[in-house]
Amino acid sequence: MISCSFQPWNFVAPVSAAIEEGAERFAMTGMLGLILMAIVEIPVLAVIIASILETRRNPRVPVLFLGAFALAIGVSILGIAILGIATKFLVPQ
Amino acid sequence: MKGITRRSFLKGIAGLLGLLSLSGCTELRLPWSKSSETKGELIDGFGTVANSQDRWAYIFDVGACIGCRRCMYACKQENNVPDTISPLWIEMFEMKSELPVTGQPSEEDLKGATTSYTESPKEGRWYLSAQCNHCANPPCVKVCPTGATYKDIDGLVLIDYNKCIGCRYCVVACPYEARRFNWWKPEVPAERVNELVPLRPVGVVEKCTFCVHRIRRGKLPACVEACPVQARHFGKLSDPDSEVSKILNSNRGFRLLEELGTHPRKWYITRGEKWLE
Amino acid sequence: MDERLLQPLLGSDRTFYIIAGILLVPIGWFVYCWVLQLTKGLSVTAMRTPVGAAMGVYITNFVFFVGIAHGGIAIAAATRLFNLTRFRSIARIGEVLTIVSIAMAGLSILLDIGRPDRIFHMIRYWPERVGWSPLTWDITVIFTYFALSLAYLWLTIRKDLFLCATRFPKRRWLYKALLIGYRPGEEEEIERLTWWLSLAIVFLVVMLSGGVVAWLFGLISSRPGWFSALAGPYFLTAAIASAIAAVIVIAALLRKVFNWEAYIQPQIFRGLGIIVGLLTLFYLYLTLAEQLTFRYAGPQAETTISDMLLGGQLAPIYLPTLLVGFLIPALWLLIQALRPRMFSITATIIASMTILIGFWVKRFLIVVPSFLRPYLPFPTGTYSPSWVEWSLMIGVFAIAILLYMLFMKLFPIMEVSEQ
Repeated sequence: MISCSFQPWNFVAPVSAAIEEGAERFAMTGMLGLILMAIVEIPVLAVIIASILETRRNPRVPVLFLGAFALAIGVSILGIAILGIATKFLVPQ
Repeated sequence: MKGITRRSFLKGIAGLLGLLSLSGCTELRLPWSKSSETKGELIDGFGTVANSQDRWAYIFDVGACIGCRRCMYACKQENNVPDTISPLWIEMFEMKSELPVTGQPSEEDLKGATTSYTESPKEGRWYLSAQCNHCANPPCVKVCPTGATYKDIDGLVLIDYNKCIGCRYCVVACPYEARRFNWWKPEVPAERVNELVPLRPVGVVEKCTFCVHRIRRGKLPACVEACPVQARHFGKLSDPDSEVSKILNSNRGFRLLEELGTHPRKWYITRGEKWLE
Repeated sequence: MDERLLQPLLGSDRTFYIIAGILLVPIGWFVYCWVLQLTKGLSVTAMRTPVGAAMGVYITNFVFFVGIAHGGIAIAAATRLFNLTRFRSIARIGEVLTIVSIAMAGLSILLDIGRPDRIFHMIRYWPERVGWSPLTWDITVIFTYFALSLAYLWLTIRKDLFLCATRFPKRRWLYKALLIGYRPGEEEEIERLTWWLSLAIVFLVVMLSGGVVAWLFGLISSRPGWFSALAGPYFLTAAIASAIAAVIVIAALLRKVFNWEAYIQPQIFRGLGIIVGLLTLFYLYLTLAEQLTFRYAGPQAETTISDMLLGGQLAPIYLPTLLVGFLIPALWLLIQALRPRMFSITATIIASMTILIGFWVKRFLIVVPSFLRPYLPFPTGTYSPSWVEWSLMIGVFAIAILLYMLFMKLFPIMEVSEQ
């Protein structure tokens, strides 16, 4: 747990630089999540678009699918909201 | 399969990937990716204004510390820490000098370290304090799903107690075990309350704030003031005349768990005479 | 339309009400315990920090349920993408398992949160945090997976609902509502759509259980034992193995109860049993790799975790789980597949059930040990779930079973229309 910091004398400038470096690394981490979500969701999106294009001869089917998808997400979010409100009366504020 | 051809599908995918890589090249800085890193001027709950030029640093002198724990209790009093938070925001370890100091000590090594010592200073022992290091690359801020924990523009890692949902992922992510969770409803007697520090509800996380309500008003953190042997120092590295600048310029020091890349702001020096006497 | 396949929907069988009544006991107790936890805070659990476990049974439950949520789509996808038609009859059994499991996974998370009244913050601050927090990634992918799976189930059940609308005039209103926009002959287009959806969902299986759920743990360098590149494949293998084991158990149970021997052939169990056996053995290989890496020249941190599991306070649970929970049943499943005369569905069920329980315990042993021995020299912690935690956990399982039964009471769990 005790690692050696490189420590010449007159060290304040490198110490500050170390803090800057840390801050930079931190800032870049936000990119990682976005890239990851893109890697996960873009292929899914592509496949969904492909399925819609594939069935465009019968436009009801993709509409049904999109409707079900949106409804599922909507209901999930609503469910979370309701549970949040319901527990509000029990959790000490 | 009729309908969409394999070729057009693959073309579509290639196009999407191209778009993605293009945006990556331009160093995508989406507006929402910054909101946990910077937070305007007024800070909720603390009523202070941060200055982005400040570079706070904390120095702990393991050579001077006698393990009296006055810092722990000064912190408790200053920050409205309830009795149900245990251990306190600061933790003191009594360490045996002849045993190796390792991260994640084995049971053997642990026999040389304890948090439950009753008398101090003891011969052949030295004292290590741990509290939030306000890391420059804090893992706790990264994992917070609501942004309740955030890094302010002057580098302090703070918590918005109204946003915290108590998932404890930040508690898990901190390698220094610096964060505390309110398992019980916190009670602080009215006469003990410090008006400058917000009271926390049950089910949220709290931790050392470097006494943000004091340092941004030109005072020192409570633990630094309380120490009877001047084992603690605090100030701005951005000020070349500050105590911390002068000390770091003339003393070798180390940080805890440096290899994890958290870039903590707390340095440990061995200036005082107690060190390995 | 075969009447026997519709047996769960026909009339009110006394057994159904008895079982439902029995389930309402742990569910009622669950409600009481949850109210207790909400009013008193999470202090009623055995979780503590920094000495002790910050997360415990609830998170184990979460990972477990997300894992078995893949059973449905794994089989449905295999049927559609690879034309393994012999598994088709149990496809919907698995799909319903998926929906119920995801819901239970969400419930398990809610139980773990310190301030469940603020749970909506996770939605509200989603845009800000989606780049940063593995928990936010988790919500994103779980929502996507859930929505796709639910849409998939709905689209494929419609032709059966059409038949049910005429067969059960009393519930016509329900079926008609779900049959919105139905046109006979839409099946062909739906087949094409669901082919693509299978592809998307299979990809999400990897990115969910072998992805974001695994990375909730694997990316956290402050927890030795968790921090590992192996987390992705490790969790994925566990998920699919436990998922298919769960499908085996449920399918076998339903087959017995409703006398569906003709529709759910033994070959199905043999085939699924082989997959479970192979995946479980693969999981043991990954465990070997993990422990070897911890022990050979590993940093103190990892070696300490390994010591805890192989020789310390957790060894009495860890070693039997590996041996009795995984190795023996997996070997049996493969032996009986290689020697058809030794094959029996009962043995398959017992082996699968053992493996399923084994995976729950194993997840516990992944989540908890890394908390007990922090980097800094705090005292080593212990964690033994409190009665509230056990009650809530059992309650979640009871709710899952009841939801599944309710589905079966209202909708056909087997495909009733001819292809």
